[in-house]
Amino acid sequence: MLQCVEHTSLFKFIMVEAARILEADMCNLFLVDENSGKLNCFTLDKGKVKEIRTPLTRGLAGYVAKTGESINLEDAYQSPLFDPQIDEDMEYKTRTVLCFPVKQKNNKVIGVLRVVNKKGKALFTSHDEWLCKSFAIFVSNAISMINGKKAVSPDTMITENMRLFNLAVEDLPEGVIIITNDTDSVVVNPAVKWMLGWKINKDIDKENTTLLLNGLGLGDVSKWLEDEVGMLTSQEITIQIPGSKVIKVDFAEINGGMNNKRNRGCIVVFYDITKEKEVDHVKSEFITIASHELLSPITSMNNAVNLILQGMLGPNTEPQKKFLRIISDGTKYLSYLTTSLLDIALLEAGKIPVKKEKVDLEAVIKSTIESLWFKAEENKISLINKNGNTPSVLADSNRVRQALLNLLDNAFKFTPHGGEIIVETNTTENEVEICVKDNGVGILLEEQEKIFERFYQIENTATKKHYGIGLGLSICKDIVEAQRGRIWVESKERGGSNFVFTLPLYK
Amino acid sequence: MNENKQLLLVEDDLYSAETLKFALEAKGHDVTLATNGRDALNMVNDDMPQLIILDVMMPKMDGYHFCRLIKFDARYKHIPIIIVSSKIQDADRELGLACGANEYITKPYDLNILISTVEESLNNLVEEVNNANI
Repeated sequence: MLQCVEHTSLFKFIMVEAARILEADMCNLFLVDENSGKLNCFTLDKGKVKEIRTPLTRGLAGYVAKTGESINLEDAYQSPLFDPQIDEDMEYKTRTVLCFPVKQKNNKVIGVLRVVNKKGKALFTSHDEWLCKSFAIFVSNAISMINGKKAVSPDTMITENMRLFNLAVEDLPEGVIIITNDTDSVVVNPAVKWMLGWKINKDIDKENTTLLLNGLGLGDVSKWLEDEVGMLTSQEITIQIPGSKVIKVDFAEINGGMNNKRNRGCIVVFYDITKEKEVDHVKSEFITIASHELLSPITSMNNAVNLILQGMLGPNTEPQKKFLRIISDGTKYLSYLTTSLLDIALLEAGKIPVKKEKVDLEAVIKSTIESLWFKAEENKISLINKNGNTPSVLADSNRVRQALLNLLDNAFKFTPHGGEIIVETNTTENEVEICVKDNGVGILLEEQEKIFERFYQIENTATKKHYGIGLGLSICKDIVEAQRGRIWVESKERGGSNFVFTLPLYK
Repeated sequence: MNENKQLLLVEDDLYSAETLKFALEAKGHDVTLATNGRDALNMVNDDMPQLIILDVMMPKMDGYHFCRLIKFDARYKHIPIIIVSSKIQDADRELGLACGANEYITKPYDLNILISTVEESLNNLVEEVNNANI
């Protein structure tokens, strides 16, 4: 079968395109050979199609070929169906896998399409599943056309492909628009029209599609298609027709290969997230009201106890002072918890607007550190500011201060008396790294990714004590990412920690 | 104009009101208390306070409404208003300032900071009067 030229080029096309469009490391095609009862596995080796035979019962592809069910695995090694020997034979490490059966019209499985390892350590999404399924339909159809000895010119194959593709896109609940600069035709599926309440009776052409897209705030699509502007951005938009809908607009670039500006284009996908937003809204409303009801009494308690502590109502005995301090610490902690929860609720509801303006980073760092000198002295920790000549960044100065305060607060918790905390900055090509270094107990490697999750509590490895409710660092991450920065930690157990976050340079 | 150095505290939460009143009085200020916007309006009319400390969420008339009424009335608009609120979103602050408030402080606040804000506003007022006299 492989001797057929059309097959070889078809397989190559499928494997290259599927891997590219699904952003995967590799795509293999398996075909059932009924005579031998084996699976023929096609792979690409240095651009050439190679064929390997494997038993029909073996591995994930074997399972899919036998049962006709699809598979989406986050970690192949966790599945009993996966055969690690295949990895060893191919000297490869499989992680995420997407497997779809290639079925004939009568539902008979004639092969399997396997896509391996989504790039960037990501997982395959339901959108990828849909793409993979579309490819599988395409494979089945193309093979039956070739086998049926129909006159197959590349053109009819493309036409046939488009027909199938259109069928798939028609039924999709998500809205899809595909627009490129080398053709005047566009793909707009019915979901787009009802989602956006787009009433248009005549044929949809490129012009009105571009106008529609421009109106959505992605950026100037027509200029982008001509490569005159650099980037379009994904958006969440609210549409008022007929009831208010919240639509998420995701934008994906199409590039016709390396340096091929001619085929520049984009796929715009519209998701209706109205329901999710409503749930979010109710949730954040609840937290806002609850926090508000808490903040007033907490403030009164805190103020009242401090008035007594300061001796404003007459002198206190030492034991009285001791217990008043317990109340004072308690109310301070309650106040911290309440504001943290409120911050998170607001961040999640997108209600904390993050400004993007020129920020004098050096001044912000200096004033933040100065505000903590008293605390440093109290804890006998040397707080050192090692930054100088730091360029300005594009950020929100209040949020930068909040992120830095959170990190410093965290460092204080894990640095023993006599320890030191250093704040320094490094400037790279596009961003500034702000580092908060301590010589405290450090963080175990397996904890380093988890500590930025909500409600993850770090245990002090020296004292086995938990701190806080695990919100500080997750708020920090939200704030940094809202300013287009990144945050991470470098740490060794007992070797101190270095928390780093980045902010884009102001240019 | 009445010459007493009176502060008007408009706050429906009695616990908040009492602690704040006590702290201000300890600093030598004369504080009268109103528990809603409507009562406060009458008191402004009768007593002409020097400065108003205002909560936002109150029955009968909320703080924003009260603030607008004061700041858009030629007789009273010179009285500084400090809003103290548990509405902590940026939009709330902007609304407060748009209603004419001179300061917007969010809960939980530090008593000392609130008191120094009050005293600064009073000092500014004295300077303005002196400048006007010159």
